[in-house]
Amino acid sequence: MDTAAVVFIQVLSTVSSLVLFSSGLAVIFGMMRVINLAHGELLMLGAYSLLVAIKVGVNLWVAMLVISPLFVAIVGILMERLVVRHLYGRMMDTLLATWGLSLFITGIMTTFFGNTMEGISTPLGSFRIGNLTESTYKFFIIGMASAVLASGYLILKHSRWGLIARGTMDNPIQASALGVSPSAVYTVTFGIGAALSGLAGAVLAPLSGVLPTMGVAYIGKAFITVIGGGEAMLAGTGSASILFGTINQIVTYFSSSVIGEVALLVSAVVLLRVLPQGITGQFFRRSL
Amino acid sequence: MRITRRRFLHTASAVAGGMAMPAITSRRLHAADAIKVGAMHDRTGSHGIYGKEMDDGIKFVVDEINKSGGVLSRELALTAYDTQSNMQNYAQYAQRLATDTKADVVFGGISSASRETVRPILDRYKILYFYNTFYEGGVCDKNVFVGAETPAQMIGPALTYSLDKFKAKKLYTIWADYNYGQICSRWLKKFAEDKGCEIVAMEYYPLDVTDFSSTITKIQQAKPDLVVSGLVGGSHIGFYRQWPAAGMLGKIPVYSTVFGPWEKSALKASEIEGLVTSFHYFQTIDTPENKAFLSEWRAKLGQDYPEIGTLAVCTYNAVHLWKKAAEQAGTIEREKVIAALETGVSFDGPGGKVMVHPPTHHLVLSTVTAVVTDGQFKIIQKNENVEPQDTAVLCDLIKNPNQAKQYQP
Repeated sequence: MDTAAVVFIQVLSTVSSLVLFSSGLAVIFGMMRVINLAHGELLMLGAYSLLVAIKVGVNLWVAMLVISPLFVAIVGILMERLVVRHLYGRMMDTLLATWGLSLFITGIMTTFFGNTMEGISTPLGSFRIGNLTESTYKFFIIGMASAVLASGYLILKHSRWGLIARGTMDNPIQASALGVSPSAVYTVTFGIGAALSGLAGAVLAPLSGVLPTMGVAYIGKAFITVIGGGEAMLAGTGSASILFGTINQIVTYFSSSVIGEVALLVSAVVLLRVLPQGITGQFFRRSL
Repeated sequence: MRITRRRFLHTASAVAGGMAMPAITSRRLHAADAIKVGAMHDRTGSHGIYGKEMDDGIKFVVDEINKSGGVLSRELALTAYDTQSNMQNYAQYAQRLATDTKADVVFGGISSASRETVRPILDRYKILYFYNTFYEGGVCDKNVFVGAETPAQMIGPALTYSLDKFKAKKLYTIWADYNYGQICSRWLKKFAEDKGCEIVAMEYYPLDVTDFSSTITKIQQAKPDLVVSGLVGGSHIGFYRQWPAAGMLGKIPVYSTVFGPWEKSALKASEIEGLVTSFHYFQTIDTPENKAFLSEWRAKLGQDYPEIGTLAVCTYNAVHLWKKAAEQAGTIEREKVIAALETGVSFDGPGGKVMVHPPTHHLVLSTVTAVVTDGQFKIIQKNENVEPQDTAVLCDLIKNPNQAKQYQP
């Protein structure tokens, strides 16, 4: 019974991590169709900005929830202005350019911060269920993921800005005829996607070592989740995360992490074969 | 445009001149009779945490040797590559060191995968190769010398210490999923079962796994007396953070076969208190030789250089062993240097005396067991003259010199 409870919490936590680190990519790729191979590095920058902020003495939660997203948003906006904006519509070129950016960012961080940096230990301690203990931080991750999905929904559905963003993504020419500047919308959207990645990186940093190369471990799963999710941004990322996270964690628990990863990849392949447009190509079609 | 004869001659000579440039310029830049030393370490990438001190180490020792007159009165010219934790780079640079630089000796390789990539290439081109990273043992190759610890040397004494101290009978083991983890886990199983212990689990994790929560839950359910960890690399550091996060620190002791300053510097002292580990060298070794070495190191590379571990020192020792053998043989010719090394050349390094073990081409060295206390490696015991018994049982290069393989338990 304790095992079931702990595994359930771990499944929720894995699903939430997937949601968190895919959300930024969902915005950038899902809304703007930009293949951002520097996504992992935006996560890494979020983690590093958290560590630097803490070293300077900022409170952990302020650094995690305010400073990291802000910092990475600025990086994202710079990326968009200087590189990505010239390559809209040219998928291969964006791929190459963002790949180059990812190498560049990794290199710069290695030069300035070296190969390892003292991280932060996981806050909030542990809790006990029967004979087993688990980290309380997992609840925080679950909470953050829910907050991201909820606020995403509220902003896109019920705010003026959300309306403008959705309209511009749908039909930029019509939107500009109505007085909206599509290029400004693109920049802000990219910035928000980057901010979400920075937030995810900061939230996940206390659970793993912070290295310049940490982005590599996340980028594959992020793309699988976003593409498996399909057209709709929120419903897609949410449903794909639930599917893949659950399969991954349960299979890992019952066998080993290698088989768990294989199971995730196999289910992604099967999903895309059966539903080539992703989950929301078929179900939840009209949702966000 | 029409290709006229003049244009053709212009272009062809320009291209030919450009392509010949490296041969022309480099001849002028290198000293005519310098000994060419090659090095390949991962300064960046997932194994960058290990490679940085080895790369700095080889530059440090080549510089030190050159300042004291070189080897056989010849200067050492070092070509050091950053292989970026990428196996293709290892293959490419090994090829380049063999055919382009024509190195006289090569030091390098970190992960066992990199060593096994490079070994056949250097064997084929008959270039002497020193591998200086602690590993899973078993390499039996006439052309290769291993300047670092094998499981019998690292794990043997430390496991004995852990089993005695924690009265452990049930062991839960977790490993990185590549040749090091796979083979080392089997050696550990053998050592532990020889001492009457039971191995409850042997789990393997790909190098990019960061989430160990189900592992920790399974360990809690299995209730072992000791957890043995052979996790490797940057991503696996996550385990050492998630373990105390789940409230497990101090509940079950952990002995790690791969835990040095490279992992320690990424973690807080409170997260790793009580971790048992073992190598030939720790910076906290309290001898005059070590203090002298460290002050030289810091003078050259910076007073705030992060804590170094056994990797830098093994690299340092290996180059000196090669130097001694070359001077003993009177030449850098490969066959003669190998013969000289096989007479049992020894060198007094910062971690103590190391001596070549002729039948296995490994080293007889001292190993130190340490426990992380207050964020420092506190030395608990030192075992002198530990032989590489795991490899010695399987490999005798004096009796059967024509071998180039790696044995497994």
